[in-house]
Order: sequence, then structure tokens, then C-alpha cells
Amino acid sequence: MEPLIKFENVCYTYTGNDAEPGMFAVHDLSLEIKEGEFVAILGHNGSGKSTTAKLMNMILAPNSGDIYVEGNKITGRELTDEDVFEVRKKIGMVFQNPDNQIVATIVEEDVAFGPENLGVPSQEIRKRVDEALDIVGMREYARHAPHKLSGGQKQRVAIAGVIAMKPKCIIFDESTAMLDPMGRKEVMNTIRRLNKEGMTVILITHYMNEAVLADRVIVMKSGEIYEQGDPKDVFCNVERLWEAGLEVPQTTELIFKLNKKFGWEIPLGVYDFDTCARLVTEKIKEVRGENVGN
Amino acid sequence: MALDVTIGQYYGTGSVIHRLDPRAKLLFVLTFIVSIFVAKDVYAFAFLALVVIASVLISRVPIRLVLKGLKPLVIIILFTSVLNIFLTRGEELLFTKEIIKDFWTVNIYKEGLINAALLALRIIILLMGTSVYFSYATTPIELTDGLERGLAPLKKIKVPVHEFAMMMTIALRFIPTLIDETIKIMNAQKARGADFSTGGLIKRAKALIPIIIPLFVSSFRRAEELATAMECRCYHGGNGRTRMNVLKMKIRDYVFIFLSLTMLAGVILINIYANGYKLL
Amino acid sequence: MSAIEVKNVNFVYGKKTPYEVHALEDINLSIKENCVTGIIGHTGSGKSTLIQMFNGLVKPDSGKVFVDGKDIWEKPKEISKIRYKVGMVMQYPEYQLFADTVWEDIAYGPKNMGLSEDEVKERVTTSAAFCGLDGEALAKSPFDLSGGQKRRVALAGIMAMKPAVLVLDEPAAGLDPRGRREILGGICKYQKESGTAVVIVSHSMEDMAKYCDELFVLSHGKLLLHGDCKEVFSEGELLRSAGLDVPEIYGVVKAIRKQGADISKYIYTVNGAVDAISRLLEGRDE
Repeated sequence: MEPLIKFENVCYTYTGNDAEPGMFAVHDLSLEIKEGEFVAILGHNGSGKSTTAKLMNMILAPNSGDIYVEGNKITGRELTDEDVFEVRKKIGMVFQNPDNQIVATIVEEDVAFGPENLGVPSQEIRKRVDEALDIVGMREYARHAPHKLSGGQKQRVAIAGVIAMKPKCIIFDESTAMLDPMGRKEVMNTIRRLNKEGMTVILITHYMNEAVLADRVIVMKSGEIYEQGDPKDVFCNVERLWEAGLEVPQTTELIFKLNKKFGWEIPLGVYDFDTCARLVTEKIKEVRGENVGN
Repeated sequence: MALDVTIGQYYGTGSVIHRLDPRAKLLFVLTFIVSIFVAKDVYAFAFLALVVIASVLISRVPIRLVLKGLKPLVIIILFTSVLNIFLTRGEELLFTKEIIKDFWTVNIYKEGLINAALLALRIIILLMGTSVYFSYATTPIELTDGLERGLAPLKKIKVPVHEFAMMMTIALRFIPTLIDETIKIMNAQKARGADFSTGGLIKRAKALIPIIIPLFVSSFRRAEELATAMECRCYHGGNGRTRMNVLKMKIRDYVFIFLSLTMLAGVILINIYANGYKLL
Repeated sequence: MSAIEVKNVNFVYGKKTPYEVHALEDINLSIKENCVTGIIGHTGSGKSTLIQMFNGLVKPDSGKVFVDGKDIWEKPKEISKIRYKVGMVMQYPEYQLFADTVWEDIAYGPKNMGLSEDEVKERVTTSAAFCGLDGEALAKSPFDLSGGQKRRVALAGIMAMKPAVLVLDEPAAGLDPRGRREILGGICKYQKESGTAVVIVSHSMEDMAKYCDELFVLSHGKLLLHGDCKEVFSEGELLRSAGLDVPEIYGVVKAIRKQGADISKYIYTVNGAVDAISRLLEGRDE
């Protein structure tokens, strides 16, 4: 099957920067996102993750290389407005600052904004808006003013606004960065539910405990892919991630540090509390047993 | 914390006033304003005051909230009233005193007092009436929508009605956000020892620079982010754009427009036939 | 003596409107000198209101705030002087930068204090250097810097005022892990070198566990918990019920105890857990 999004040797350069002219934001990047996948993109600030996201739905156009959406090449040729809308309809995006992406003064009007732009008939919009608000659990706030909602609620409204456009994929560009733990949980639960129901999710984040929920993790550094794979495997490269300015989940960090300090060989991985505790306790008991034996 | 601004402070109760077509409400407010300025007779004012009170009750917006919206304008109301007490000449002199010999004598007439009261009442019912219909019971987006539809014929002569309405919507959406932001920046600069309340005019104007510049910078950043977000949601102006809520005049809207016109006619009739005190 | 003392403080927002909120209810606390104090709470717990009382940006409806043992509202006209004593770095402070150059921006606070030119220069140079801003950066426009650098400029601007208490509202919000470590580590280093009292407000329990000596937990405008990290994090269930996240490692340690290893329950950092396990093993060796 065709991947939903495919990058082939994509380069993107920000120009007009006095300090570092012509720096690559994205360099020779090739990647594939399959339909229904949940991909997390990690990387420190300036590693090119947001640029990658903006290339995916044509907010930016690459300097070289090709991008395909569902097998259709969207680079290297003249595109009509309809072509662009077709891509943006398929690939929605939720941004970091909840305040700067809500257009309307009433929640449901904002959710309707996308479908309205697409020229969807009125009754159909009504249906989509109600469904979208149900999915994110904000139906009861349909007539509220967005500026009075909490950060997590605002982001859920923004998500509903994208869902109402019936996309195949939603990109979350650090959408949890400005939220408190509760808001983050709300948004993450929504994201996971969407993914379970078949939505392709691309999650750009700084939080490792969010990234571990993904099917695949892509770590970016200096505009290139630095590491990628199953989160369990990626997070085992503890030192390599530290080098890229990232952290690993605390369970992994604990086992890594214990292994290093005592020369143990507990298999590294991403564990829940109980598994991590069981592995550590077993080892402690084993070591103590030997000591007693001596 | 957010300042209370009447503009954009929708208070949803789902009352019949909330559900009226914004165009009908626009027309009502228009006739209401005309009525207020046509009204001369005390009974006409009483009638309009009743209309306002009835509107507040029907809209189910807490009266406390409506009255609070008047607060910033108390000074203006008082000022015009007081001015009227001193400047109106009537027949029944209540009080006179020579303040400066042969130059300034204060005369207060009964008519002056009544005029002042009526003018204050006029401003109060004007503000209460318009704010109930425009701020509390109509979302700004409905209002701009109403204007956009109402003015749609102007598109034919290339008036950018949609663009204008969109700009208004976004402005309204961001007013509370920018007020919050202003307070935050002011607090941040106060924490660095900024002083906005002492010194001469130039010093005070200078003290505002540390507020205005960050506010501009952040507004531009917001504008840029919002533009990107709108682009992502396929915004491309008014062409081919549909709406979720299509405005459709219902019977109640026609009834309401009829009532509005009746109100105006009523005020004119009271002016002619009633024998109450007439505003000078 | 404590750096800041708050006594029986109450505060209500939007009094007599339909939106009335009791933001703070009968708060009593004291911020110790010469240590890092953390204030934790979910959004809307009243923590931002509370710290804005420390420097008189918000006046309590009732109750008193003491800085250096003095009631700050005794002479309301002199409230701005309190702001030199209690330096406050607001949330996302990079959005308050305004001057033509980084140097000018850092100098804004010290200049408002009426310090001599030499003194201002000295302070700007020192605090900029501490925040990792070199001479080249000082000559730039603050708007040409990266996000992380901007935040450090804002921080230097407050540090240059040499406040007796430094209060920071979510200093690491929105930064990547490396940025978080740098900024929080820098603040702690500043505390140790200058000996001032530092107050950090955050909802990241992991960060608080790593950097704070003393913690206050607010929930719905009330003081829920108070103590050092050990005491506060041992109340994991209570914290969770207040809508807060307990550090992951806390959960792991709890599970280890449950499985029969006799590890101390007062552990809230990874390094702490490693040390405890190593003590456990060594204890066996003796």
C-alpha cells in the first residue's frame, strides 16, 4: 500500500537569517508515514521537527527533494489552489499555542471554520461539528467562548476543528507544550483514542512519556534523522539520546544507571512501574543471595 | 485577570432574544436608537424603560451584569446631567446664588433637574438596550454575520464585505486575549520597577514604551501564527465558502421587526398625545 | 527569620459577579531564606495569584504579607520598593523584552532603581555573564535571539536588580529537556552563589523533586501540603487526588517496596533511587 506521506531526500533552507545564512532546517530527509500509524517526532529546539511538519501539509515548500501524499507528488510542479486544499484537508495540524489557532468567538463556530472554507453544505457541517465535539468530549461547551476555557479544553477545540475537516492524518506540533499535566493528559487521551479509531497521528513533542505511546519514534538532530524505530528500542540508546539533548523515561534511566554502576545486565527497555520494579527487585535479591552465600 | 469589557461578553441563556436573527436585532436596535432620540415626553421614556426592562427579563441575562456594564460610563452620565442642571433655563426657579458678582450667577430651575434626570435615563436605557441585544444576547460572530448578510448586496459594487466581517470577527476574538496580555506585560514591567502613574506627560508616555513594544511584537507573532493556522484549515477568503448557521428569517423575526416598528410608532404617538412633562 | 511570610491571606476574583472565584483561602506560609522553595499546584490552584502577592502586584482582600519582617501594605505608596526586594520572573518572560539591545533591556530594572551608571554597568555585565550571554549577545537586539536565549535575557534583567528573593513562575515552560535543565540548573547555581531565597512555581513534579529544598502544594486555593521533598512526595495519593503528577520514579520505588525489597520510601529522583539501592546492597556487605 502507498504510504500516506513520503519524503524523498527533502531539503529545506531558511533564508534571510543574518546570523547563519542558508542553514539547513531539514537536510536530505527521507521518511514514510503509513496510514493509521502513530509516529512521535522528538528532537531539541531547532532540530527541524516543526519544519518537517510544515512541509507535510504544504505550509512550506522544499528547496529540493520530493514529497508524496497518498502517492501523489506534491512538489516540483505548478499546483492549483485545489491541489493544496486537497492536501491540507487530508493532513490537519494542531499547533502549540491554543490561543493563536482559534478564529471564532464561539466554540462550535470555530470548529465549523474548516468545513466552511471547504464549501461543505450547511447541514453536513452541523453534523460534522457535533460529531467532532463529541469525539473530543467538548459537546457541552459548544456555545462557550473559547477564551474562558482551560488550555487543555482549547486544544481539544482546536483538534475538533481539524477533525471536522475529516482528515486522514493529524500533526500535533508541540500541542501539549503549553499545557499543565491535566491538560496534557486530556489531550493525550484524545490523541490516543483518535489513533485507535484509525487516524494517522504525528506527534511532535518534548515529553518522553508521550513519545513512548507511539508505534514509532523518529529522533531528529540538525535537520536529519538521528535515530528511529520502536520506542522500546530507541529509548535503550540512553547515552545517544542524552547526546541529542533529550531525556529517556525514568524507568529506563534507572535501569541504565543501575546497570552502569553495578555492572548488571538488566535488559533495557521502556517499562511500566511494576515491570521495572520486578526486574530491579529480582536483581537485588539475586545479588544479596550471592552475598549471603559467600 | 481579565478586565470586564462589555464588548464580546456574550452571556448565553438560549432565550428567545438570543435566538432571534441578528438582522432582526440590528433593525430593532436601529429603531430603538431612533425612538430614544425621538422621545420627548416623560411617558415615552417610561415606555422605553419598560421595553428595556422587559428585554432584560426575557433575555434572562442577570441584571447585575447589565448594570455592571454601565459602570465605566457613570462619569459621562453624571457629567452630562450636571451640565444640564446648570445650563437649562426654565420657568420655576428653585435656587439662585451669585457666585461672582455681576459675572456668574447659578440658577437652578425645576426643569433643569427634570431634564438632567431624563437625559441620564436616556443614556442609561440606550446603553442597556443596545448591550442586551448586541453584547449579551448576540455573539459578535452572529453580529458580524448579520452585517455581512445585511450588506451582501454591496459586494456587487466591490465592497469587501466578507473580508471586513472576517477582520471584525478576529478583532473581537482577540480583544480579551490582548487585554490579558497587556495586564501580564504591565505586571512584568512593574516587577522591574516601571512606574506608570507619576511624573509629567512625557515621562508617562515614555513609561509606556516597555508595554507597547512587547505588545506589538506579540501581536505580530500571534497574527502570523493565526494566519498559518487559518491556512492549514484551507481559508481562502469568501469565495466558495459556506456557513454552518445559515441565517433564515423566521416568523418570530418578522413579528419582532413588526414590534420594533410599533415601538417607534408608539413613541411618536405618546409624544403627540400624552400630557406628561416634555423634554426641552 | 523568613524571607517572606504570608498570614491568613484571602483573595476573591470577580467579586459580586457571576464569575466569582475564591482564588486563595486562608493561606499561611513562610518562605525560608537561603534555599529553593517550590510552589506546586494545578492550573487555577491560586499559585500565580499567591506569588503576585509576594511583590505586591496583587493585594490580598484580607490577611498580611511580610517581606523581611515588614508588612508590605503598611505604606501602600511605597509598594513599588517591595518589587526591588522581591524580584519576579513571570511566565514566558521573553515576551516582556522591549529594548533596542540586550544590554539596554537588562539595564531597565537597575536603572529604574536609580542606581549609578557604574553600578548599573557592573550589574548588567555580571548577571548577563551568569546567564551565559557574552559581549556579542549584549549588543544584539533581543528579538534576534533564540527562544531560550530570550528567556535568559529576561532572567538576567531580574537578577541584575539583586533582589533578596527571586520568584520565578514556570521558568522552564515550553523549553526542550536540555533548555529545562540549563535554566533550572542555572537558577539553583545562582541561589547557591548569591545566598538569596528562590521561589519556583511549576507543575512539573520531576523538576521540583530535582531542584527544590522545600515545597508547598496548593489545591483549589488552599494549602494542601508543606514540607521538604521527602515529606511531600511520600503523600503520593494525596498529590494525585489534587490533579498533580507524582514523579514516575516514585511509582517505581513504591512497587519495589511492595515486592519486598526494603528500600527507603522517601525517594523521588532517579539518582536517589540508585543511591538507595546501592546503600541497600552495601548494607548487606557489611
